[in-house]
Amino acid sequence: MYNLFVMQVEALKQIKRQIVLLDPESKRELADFLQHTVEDSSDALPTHISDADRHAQTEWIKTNREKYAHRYVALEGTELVGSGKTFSEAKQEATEKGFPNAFVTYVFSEKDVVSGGL
Amino acid sequence: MPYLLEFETFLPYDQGLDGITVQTTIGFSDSAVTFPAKIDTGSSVCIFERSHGESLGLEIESGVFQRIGTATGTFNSYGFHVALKVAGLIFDSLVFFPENEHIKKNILGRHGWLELVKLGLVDYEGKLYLSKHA
Repeated sequence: MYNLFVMQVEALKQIKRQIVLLDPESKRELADFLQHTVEDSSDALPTHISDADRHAQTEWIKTNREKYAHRYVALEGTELVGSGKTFSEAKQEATEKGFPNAFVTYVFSEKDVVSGGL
Repeated sequence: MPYLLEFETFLPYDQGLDGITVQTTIGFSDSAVTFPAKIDTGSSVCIFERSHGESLGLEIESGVFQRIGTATGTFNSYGFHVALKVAGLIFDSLVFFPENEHIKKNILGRHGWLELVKLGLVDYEGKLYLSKHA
């Protein structure tokens, strides 16, 4: 464990010596890379939607999918606050009704075979 | 005439990997799991390994059933509303997990991710630029 610590300290010193040689753009790239590396090691994913709402919205889609198939829906809790042929249509309707943070998603029919890439 | 775009964030990616691969985190409740996923404009949805959904405590077969088609065949999957994070940008997305645990696909597709971002790509240099769009 102690040896690992010493190795990390030495590696860090070496990296710092190399960083000063980089041009400003490369330093900015490195800073961005390090920021994302640190962020991605975090466990928390804070959003404004509760677990209960996530569950309920998944259930809402299961129940109502055929009625809204091939359209976007905007859900606030389990209330439908917008729908449309495009994401922006559904989002706009929700926003106009006072729900700018509504969850917007596309609804497939249960019969659809959805493209999953190659 | 030039077309100028501005982005919130920049993400260099490893050109040595197969596909354009970025670290991706999905979260539900107090759990989160991080793994590499490929950006796939040919996929209509985001698809992640079943084991990733299970590690969030999701009962996979209780999700939104959907058949998924690929060049080599079709498979059953189940959708869940989760939090999705790529390059520090967090989204609320419906993503799908295959019923079959042996399907090791991890892809960021159109619905649930691509349609929520503005994306700039310079593959020659391994550079990805991203902003939240919606």
